[in-house]
Amino acid sequence: MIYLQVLANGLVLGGLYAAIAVGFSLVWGVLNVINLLHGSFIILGAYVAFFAYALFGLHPFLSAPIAGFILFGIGYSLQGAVINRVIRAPVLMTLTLTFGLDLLLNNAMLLAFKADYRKVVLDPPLGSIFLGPIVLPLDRISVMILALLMTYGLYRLLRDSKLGRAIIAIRMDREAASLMGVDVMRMQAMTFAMGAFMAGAAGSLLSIIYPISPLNSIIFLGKAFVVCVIGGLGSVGGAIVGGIALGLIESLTGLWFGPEYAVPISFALLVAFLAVRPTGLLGRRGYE
Amino acid sequence: MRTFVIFAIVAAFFTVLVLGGNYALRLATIFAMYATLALSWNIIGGLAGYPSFATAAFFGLGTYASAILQSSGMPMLVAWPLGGLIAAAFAAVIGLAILHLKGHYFAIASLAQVKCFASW
Repeated sequence: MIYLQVLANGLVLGGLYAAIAVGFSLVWGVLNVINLLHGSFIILGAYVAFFAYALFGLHPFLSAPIAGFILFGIGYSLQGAVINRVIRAPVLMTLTLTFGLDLLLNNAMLLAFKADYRKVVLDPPLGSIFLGPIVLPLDRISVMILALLMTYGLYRLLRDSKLGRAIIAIRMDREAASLMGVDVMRMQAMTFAMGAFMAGAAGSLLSIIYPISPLNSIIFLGKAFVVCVIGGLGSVGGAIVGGIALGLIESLTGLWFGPEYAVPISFALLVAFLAVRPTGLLGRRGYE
Repeated sequence: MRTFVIFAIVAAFFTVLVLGGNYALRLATIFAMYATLALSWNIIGGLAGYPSFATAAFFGLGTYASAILQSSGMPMLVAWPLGGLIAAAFAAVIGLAILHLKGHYFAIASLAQVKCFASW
Protein backbone atom coordinates (compact mmCIF):
# COMPACT_ATOMS: atom_id res chain seq x y z
CA MET A 1 0.00 0.00 0.00
CA ILE A 2 2.92 2.31 0.74
CA TYR A 3 3.99 1.83 -2.87
CA LEU A 4 0.79 3.46 -4.10
CA GLN A 5 1.56 6.50 -1.97
CA VAL A 6 5.18 6.61 -3.14
CA LEU A 7 4.03 6.27 -6.74
CA ALA A 8 1.59 9.15 -6.28
CA ASN A 9 4.30 11.32 -4.66
CA GLY A 10 6.68 10.56 -7.50
CA LEU A 11 4.15 11.42 -10.20
CA VAL A 12 3.21 14.66 -8.49
CA LEU A 13 6.85 15.74 -8.16
CA GLY A 14 7.48 14.63 -11.74
CA GLY A 15 5.10 17.19 -13.21
CA LEU A 16 6.98 20.00 -11.51
CA TYR A 17 10.36 18.57 -12.52
CA ALA A 18 9.23 18.49 -16.13
CA ALA A 19 8.45 22.22 -16.00
CA ILE A 20 11.82 22.91 -14.31
CA ALA A 21 13.71 21.02 -16.98
CA VAL A 22 11.84 21.91 -20.17
CA GLY A 23 13.31 25.41 -20.44
CA PHE A 24 16.80 24.07 -19.80
CA SER A 25 16.24 21.40 -22.41
CA LEU A 26 15.00 23.95 -24.96
CA VAL A 27 18.12 26.11 -24.54
CA TRP A 28 20.45 23.13 -24.67
CA GLY A 29 18.69 21.55 -27.63
CA VAL A 30 18.30 24.65 -29.79
CA LEU A 31 21.20 26.89 -28.82
CA ASN A 32 23.64 24.16 -27.81
CA VAL A 33 24.31 26.11 -24.61
CA ILE A 34 24.32 24.49 -21.18
CA ASN A 35 22.61 27.22 -19.24
CA LEU A 36 24.11 27.10 -15.75
CA LEU A 37 21.98 30.13 -14.88
CA HIS A 38 18.83 28.01 -14.94
CA GLY A 39 18.85 27.24 -11.21
CA SER A 40 19.25 30.89 -10.29
CA PHE A 41 16.46 31.82 -12.71
CA ILE A 42 14.16 29.40 -10.88
CA ILE A 43 15.09 30.84 -7.50
CA LEU A 44 14.60 34.40 -8.76
CA GLY A 45 11.12 33.42 -9.95
CA ALA A 46 10.42 31.97 -6.52
CA TYR A 47 11.50 35.24 -4.88
CA VAL A 48 9.14 37.18 -7.15
CA ALA A 49 6.33 34.96 -5.90
CA PHE A 50 7.48 35.30 -2.30
CA PHE A 51 7.53 39.10 -2.35
CA ALA A 52 4.35 39.35 -4.39
CA TYR A 53 2.62 37.29 -1.71
CA ALA A 54 4.26 39.02 1.26
CA LEU A 55 3.76 42.58 0.02
CA PHE A 56 0.59 42.46 -2.10
CA GLY A 57 -1.02 39.17 -1.04
CA LEU A 58 -0.85 37.96 -4.62
CA HIS A 59 -1.27 34.18 -4.86
CA PRO A 60 1.84 32.44 -6.30
CA PHE A 61 -0.30 30.86 -9.02
CA LEU A 62 -1.20 34.38 -10.20
CA SER A 63 2.32 35.76 -9.89
CA ALA A 64 3.75 32.86 -11.95
CA PRO A 65 3.22 34.67 -15.30
CA ILE A 66 4.61 37.89 -13.81
CA ALA A 67 7.73 36.09 -12.62
CA GLY A 68 7.89 34.42 -16.02
CA PHE A 69 7.83 37.72 -17.89
CA ILE A 70 10.42 39.34 -15.60
CA LEU A 71 12.75 36.42 -16.26
CA PHE A 72 11.82 36.57 -19.95
CA GLY A 73 13.18 40.12 -20.07
CA ILE A 74 16.34 39.18 -18.21
CA GLY A 75 16.88 36.16 -20.44
CA TYR A 76 16.29 38.13 -23.65
CA SER A 77 18.79 40.82 -22.73
CA LEU A 78 21.41 38.33 -21.50
CA GLN A 79 21.30 36.27 -24.69
CA GLY A 80 21.05 39.30 -26.93
CA ALA A 81 23.83 41.28 -25.28
CA VAL A 82 26.27 38.62 -24.09
CA ILE A 83 25.71 34.96 -24.95
CA ASN A 84 25.00 35.55 -28.67
CA ARG A 85 28.56 36.81 -29.03
CA VAL A 86 30.13 33.47 -28.16
CA ILE A 87 27.38 31.09 -29.17
CA ARG A 88 29.43 29.36 -31.85
CA ALA A 89 32.57 29.10 -29.71
CA PRO A 90 33.59 25.72 -28.24
CA VAL A 91 31.55 24.26 -25.37
CA LEU A 92 33.99 25.37 -22.69
CA MET A 93 33.49 29.02 -23.63
CA THR A 94 29.69 29.09 -23.32
CA LEU A 95 29.84 26.94 -20.19
CA THR A 96 32.34 29.24 -18.52
CA LEU A 97 30.28 32.26 -19.56
CA THR A 98 27.02 30.96 -18.09
CA PHE A 99 28.95 29.76 -15.03
CA GLY A 100 30.34 33.26 -14.48
CA LEU A 101 26.94 34.89 -15.09
CA ASP A 102 25.45 32.47 -12.59
CA LEU A 103 28.05 33.44 -9.98
CA LEU A 104 27.11 37.09 -10.53
CA LEU A 105 23.35 36.55 -10.36
CA ASN A 106 23.52 34.13 -7.45
CA ASN A 107 25.73 36.36 -5.34
CA ALA A 108 23.62 39.38 -6.20
CA MET A 109 20.61 37.45 -4.89
CA LEU A 110 22.53 36.50 -1.74
CA LEU A 111 23.31 40.16 -1.24
CA ALA A 112 19.74 41.30 -1.86
CA PHE A 113 17.71 38.52 -0.22
CA LYS A 114 20.19 36.99 2.28
CA ALA A 115 20.77 33.24 2.54
CA ASP A 116 17.83 32.68 4.92
CA TYR A 117 15.41 29.99 3.89
CA ARG A 118 11.97 31.40 3.19
CA LYS A 119 8.74 29.86 2.08
CA VAL A 120 5.38 31.06 0.91
CA VAL A 121 2.95 29.90 3.59
CA LEU A 122 -0.53 30.08 2.16
CA ASP A 123 -3.23 31.34 4.46
CA PRO A 124 -5.56 29.47 4.56
CA PRO A 125 -3.63 26.31 3.51
CA LEU A 126 -5.05 24.32 0.61
CA GLY A 127 -5.33 21.09 2.61
CA SER A 128 -5.26 17.54 1.26
CA ILE A 129 -7.58 15.09 -0.41
CA PHE A 130 -7.77 11.43 0.57
CA LEU A 131 -8.21 8.78 -2.11
CA GLY A 132 -8.71 5.66 -0.01
CA PRO A 133 -5.32 5.13 1.67
CA ILE A 134 -3.49 7.72 -0.47
CA VAL A 135 -3.02 11.26 0.80
CA LEU A 136 -2.64 13.92 -1.89
CA PRO A 137 -1.70 17.41 -0.69
CA LEU A 138 -3.76 19.83 -2.79
CA ASP A 139 -0.98 22.40 -3.14
CA ARG A 140 1.30 19.82 -4.75
CA ILE A 141 -1.46 18.52 -7.01
CA SER A 142 -2.33 21.99 -8.26
CA VAL A 143 1.36 22.81 -8.80
CA MET A 144 1.72 19.61 -10.83
CA ILE A 145 -1.32 20.40 -12.97
CA LEU A 146 -0.25 23.99 -13.61
CA ALA A 147 3.33 22.93 -14.36
CA LEU A 148 2.14 20.34 -16.87
CA LEU A 149 -0.23 22.88 -18.45
CA MET A 150 2.65 25.33 -18.81
CA THR A 151 4.81 22.64 -20.39
CA TYR A 152 2.01 21.75 -22.78
CA GLY A 153 1.64 25.44 -23.61
CA LEU A 154 5.30 25.62 -24.58
CA TYR A 155 4.86 22.52 -26.72
CA ARG A 156 1.91 24.06 -28.59
CA LEU A 157 3.83 27.30 -29.02
CA LEU A 158 6.73 25.42 -30.58
CA ARG A 159 4.43 23.33 -32.76
CA ASP A 160 1.91 25.86 -33.97
CA SER A 161 3.27 29.40 -33.88
CA LYS A 162 5.46 31.05 -36.45
CA LEU A 163 7.89 31.87 -33.65
CA GLY A 164 8.05 28.23 -32.59
CA ARG A 165 8.60 27.02 -36.14
CA ALA A 166 11.43 29.53 -36.57
CA ILE A 167 13.08 28.24 -33.40
CA ILE A 168 12.80 24.64 -34.57
CA ALA A 169 14.22 25.69 -37.93
CA ILE A 170 17.31 27.09 -36.20
CA ARG A 171 17.62 23.89 -34.22
CA MET A 172 17.54 21.85 -37.44
CA ASP A 173 19.84 23.96 -39.57
CA ARG A 174 21.10 27.39 -38.63
CA GLU A 175 22.36 28.42 -42.05
CA ALA A 176 19.26 27.25 -43.90
CA ALA A 177 17.03 29.01 -41.37
CA SER A 178 18.86 32.27 -41.86
CA LEU A 179 18.59 31.88 -45.66
CA MET A 180 14.82 31.46 -45.26
CA GLY A 181 14.64 34.88 -43.63
CA VAL A 182 14.76 33.88 -39.97
CA ASP A 183 16.51 36.52 -37.86
CA VAL A 184 18.78 33.99 -36.14
CA MET A 185 20.22 36.27 -33.47
CA ARG A 186 16.79 37.55 -32.42
CA MET A 187 15.29 34.05 -32.41
CA GLN A 188 18.17 32.80 -30.27
CA ALA A 189 17.43 35.56 -27.78
CA MET A 190 13.73 34.55 -27.89
CA THR A 191 14.65 30.91 -27.25
CA PHE A 192 16.80 31.76 -24.26
CA ALA A 193 14.11 34.11 -22.98
CA MET A 194 11.47 31.37 -23.26
CA GLY A 195 13.72 29.03 -21.29
CA ALA A 196 14.05 31.74 -18.64
CA PHE A 197 10.27 32.28 -18.67
CA MET A 198 9.67 28.60 -17.92
CA ALA A 199 12.27 28.72 -15.12
CA GLY A 200 10.73 31.82 -13.55
CA ALA A 201 7.17 30.53 -13.72
CA ALA A 202 8.18 27.10 -12.40
CA GLY A 203 10.11 28.78 -9.60
CA SER A 204 7.04 30.80 -8.72
CA LEU A 205 4.93 27.64 -8.55
CA LEU A 206 7.41 25.71 -6.42
CA SER A 207 7.66 28.54 -3.88
CA ILE A 208 4.64 27.06 -2.07
CA ILE A 209 6.27 23.61 -1.80
CA TYR A 210 9.98 24.19 -1.31
CA PRO A 211 11.95 26.54 0.94
CA ILE A 212 13.61 29.30 -1.13
CA SER A 213 17.21 30.45 -0.79
CA PRO A 214 19.87 31.41 -3.36
CA LEU A 215 21.86 28.46 -1.98
CA ASN A 216 19.18 26.12 -3.35
CA SER A 217 19.64 27.12 -6.98
CA ILE A 218 22.25 24.40 -7.57
CA ILE A 219 19.74 21.73 -6.46
CA PHE A 220 17.24 22.71 -9.15
CA LEU A 221 19.97 23.04 -11.77
CA GLY A 222 21.06 19.49 -10.91
CA LYS A 223 17.51 18.23 -11.27
CA ALA A 224 17.30 19.86 -14.70
CA PHE A 225 20.48 18.00 -15.76
CA VAL A 226 19.16 14.64 -14.61
CA VAL A 227 15.72 15.12 -16.18
CA CYS A 228 17.21 16.13 -19.54
CA VAL A 229 19.67 13.27 -19.72
CA ILE A 230 17.29 10.56 -18.48
CA GLY A 231 14.33 11.70 -20.57
CA GLY A 232 16.18 12.62 -23.72
CA LEU A 233 17.56 15.99 -24.63
CA GLY A 234 15.88 18.72 -26.55
CA SER A 235 12.23 17.67 -26.66
CA VAL A 236 9.21 18.53 -24.56
CA GLY A 237 8.22 14.86 -24.39
CA GLY A 238 11.68 13.99 -23.11
CA ALA A 239 11.39 16.55 -20.33
CA ILE A 240 8.02 15.15 -19.23
CA VAL A 241 9.20 11.51 -19.31
CA GLY A 242 12.45 12.45 -17.55
CA GLY A 243 10.64 14.57 -14.99
CA ILE A 244 8.29 11.77 -14.04
CA ALA A 245 11.19 9.28 -14.03
CA LEU A 246 13.18 11.52 -11.67
CA GLY A 247 10.15 12.02 -9.41
CA LEU A 248 9.69 8.26 -9.15
CA ILE A 249 13.42 7.61 -8.67
CA GLU A 250 13.58 10.15 -5.85
CA SER A 251 10.56 8.80 -4.01
CA LEU A 252 11.62 5.17 -4.43
CA THR A 253 15.22 5.75 -3.26
CA GLY A 254 13.75 7.77 -0.40
CA LEU A 255 11.70 4.75 0.59
CA TRP A 256 14.43 2.14 0.09
CA PHE A 257 17.62 3.87 1.20
CA GLY A 258 16.57 7.14 2.84
CA PRO A 259 16.10 10.59 1.31
CA GLU A 260 19.79 11.57 1.71
CA TYR A 261 20.64 9.08 -1.05
CA ALA A 262 18.19 10.52 -3.57
CA VAL A 263 20.67 12.98 -5.10
CA PRO A 264 23.76 10.71 -5.33
CA ILE A 265 21.64 7.93 -6.83
CA SER A 266 19.98 10.20 -9.36
CA PHE A 267 23.39 11.49 -10.47
CA ALA A 268 24.82 7.97 -10.62
CA LEU A 269 21.88 7.16 -12.90
CA LEU A 270 22.68 10.23 -15.00
CA VAL A 271 26.23 9.00 -15.56
CA ALA A 272 24.97 5.50 -16.29
CA PHE A 273 22.53 6.88 -18.87
CA LEU A 274 25.26 8.96 -20.48
CA ALA A 275 27.49 5.91 -20.71
CA VAL A 276 24.88 3.45 -21.98
CA ARG A 277 22.08 5.42 -23.62
CA PRO A 278 23.00 9.07 -24.16
CA THR A 279 19.80 9.77 -26.09
CA GLY A 280 17.71 9.10 -22.99
CA LEU A 281 14.54 7.09 -22.51
CA LEU A 282 12.76 8.55 -25.53
CA GLY A 283 15.80 7.83 -27.65
CA ARG A 284 15.56 10.52 -30.29
CA ARG A 285 17.03 13.95 -30.49
CA GLY A 286 15.36 17.23 -31.26
CA TYR A 287 11.92 18.70 -31.82
CA GLU A 288 9.74 17.79 -34.74
CA MET B 1 62.76 34.70 -17.78
CA ARG B 2 62.54 31.14 -16.57
CA THR B 3 65.43 31.51 -14.10
CA PHE B 4 63.93 34.76 -12.91
CA VAL B 5 60.57 33.13 -12.16
CA ILE B 6 62.22 30.23 -10.35
CA PHE B 7 64.36 32.67 -8.38
CA ALA B 8 61.31 34.76 -7.46
CA ILE B 9 59.38 31.70 -6.29
CA VAL B 10 62.29 30.43 -4.17
CA ALA B 11 62.83 33.91 -2.72
CA ALA B 12 59.12 34.26 -1.92
CA PHE B 13 59.14 30.82 -0.31
CA PHE B 14 61.96 31.66 2.08
CA THR B 15 60.68 35.17 2.79
CA VAL B 16 57.27 33.81 3.85
CA LEU B 17 58.92 31.01 5.81
CA VAL B 18 61.20 33.34 7.75
CA LEU B 19 59.30 36.61 7.96
CA GLY B 20 55.64 35.70 7.38
CA GLY B 21 53.13 35.57 10.19
CA ASN B 22 50.26 33.07 10.35
CA TYR B 23 48.15 35.02 7.91
CA ALA B 24 50.84 35.37 5.23
CA LEU B 25 51.74 31.72 5.63
CA ARG B 26 48.14 30.65 5.17
CA LEU B 27 47.72 32.90 2.17
CA ALA B 28 50.91 31.55 0.60
CA THR B 29 49.73 27.97 1.21
CA ILE B 30 46.47 28.73 -0.56
CA PHE B 31 48.34 30.34 -3.49
CA ALA B 32 50.45 27.23 -3.90
CA MET B 33 47.48 24.92 -3.50
CA TYR B 34 45.41 26.73 -6.12
CA ALA B 35 48.36 26.81 -8.50
CA THR B 36 48.63 23.03 -8.21
CA LEU B 37 44.87 22.70 -8.65
CA ALA B 38 45.06 24.80 -11.83
CA LEU B 39 47.87 22.57 -13.12
CA SER B 40 45.67 19.57 -12.40
CA TRP B 41 42.84 21.03 -14.49
CA ASN B 42 45.29 21.95 -17.22
CA ILE B 43 46.06 18.27 -17.81
CA ILE B 44 42.47 17.35 -18.63
CA GLY B 45 41.16 20.71 -19.84
CA GLY B 46 44.21 22.18 -21.53
CA LEU B 47 46.30 19.28 -22.80
CA ALA B 48 43.53 16.74 -23.41
CA GLY B 49 40.92 19.36 -24.36
CA TYR B 50 37.99 18.05 -22.34
CA PRO B 51 35.62 20.61 -20.78
CA SER B 52 35.96 18.97 -17.37
CA PHE B 53 34.32 20.07 -14.15
CA ALA B 54 35.26 17.01 -12.16
CA THR B 55 38.53 18.40 -10.80
CA ALA B 56 36.76 19.83 -7.75
CA ALA B 57 35.41 16.36 -6.93
CA PHE B 58 38.90 14.83 -7.05
CA PHE B 59 40.20 17.72 -4.94
CA GLY B 60 37.54 17.02 -2.33
CA LEU B 61 38.11 13.28 -2.45
CA GLY B 62 41.86 13.77 -1.87
CA THR B 63 41.16 16.13 1.03
CA TYR B 64 38.78 13.73 2.71
CA ALA B 65 40.91 10.66 2.08
CA SER B 66 44.07 12.14 3.53
CA ALA B 67 42.20 13.75 6.44
CA ILE B 68 40.58 10.43 7.35
CA LEU B 69 43.91 8.61 7.02
CA GLN B 70 45.62 11.17 9.24
CA SER B 71 42.95 11.08 11.89
CA SER B 72 43.30 7.30 12.01
CA GLY B 73 46.96 7.75 12.93
CA MET B 74 48.87 7.75 9.64
CA PRO B 75 51.77 10.22 9.45
CA MET B 76 51.00 13.32 7.41
CA LEU B 77 53.68 12.86 4.79
CA VAL B 78 52.37 9.37 3.95
CA ALA B 79 48.74 10.44 4.01
CA TRP B 80 49.26 13.19 1.42
CA PRO B 81 50.44 11.06 -1.49
CA LEU B 82 47.99 8.32 -0.49
CA GLY B 83 45.13 10.84 -0.70
CA GLY B 84 46.33 11.74 -4.19
CA LEU B 85 46.57 8.08 -5.20
CA ILE B 86 43.04 7.35 -3.98
CA ALA B 87 41.69 10.30 -5.96
CA ALA B 88 43.68 9.15 -9.01
CA ALA B 89 42.33 5.60 -8.74
CA PHE B 90 38.79 6.93 -8.53
CA ALA B 91 39.41 9.28 -11.46
CA ALA B 92 40.71 6.37 -13.53
CA VAL B 93 37.49 4.40 -12.98
CA ILE B 94 35.30 7.43 -13.74
CA GLY B 95 37.43 8.27 -16.76
CA LEU B 96 36.88 4.81 -18.23
CA ALA B 97 33.15 5.39 -17.96
CA ILE B 98 32.83 8.94 -19.29
CA LEU B 99 35.87 9.88 -21.38
CA HIS B 100 34.23 8.55 -24.54
CA LEU B 101 31.54 11.23 -24.24
CA LYS B 102 31.95 14.40 -26.26
CA GLY B 103 31.41 18.10 -25.66
CA HIS B 104 28.36 19.00 -23.62
CA TYR B 105 27.72 15.45 -22.56
CA PHE B 106 31.18 15.12 -21.05
CA ALA B 107 30.75 18.46 -19.28
CA ILE B 108 27.47 17.33 -17.73
CA ALA B 109 28.86 13.94 -16.72
CA SER B 110 31.88 15.54 -15.05
CA LEU B 111 29.67 18.09 -13.29
CA ALA B 112 27.61 15.19 -12.01
CA GLN B 113 30.68 13.86 -10.18
CA VAL B 114 31.00 17.10 -8.25
CA LYS B 115 27.32 17.12 -7.33
CA CYS B 116 27.43 13.48 -6.29
CA PHE B 117 30.26 14.21 -3.88
CA ALA B 118 28.97 17.52 -2.63
CA SER B 119 25.62 16.05 -1.71
CA TRP B 120 26.86 12.84 -0.14
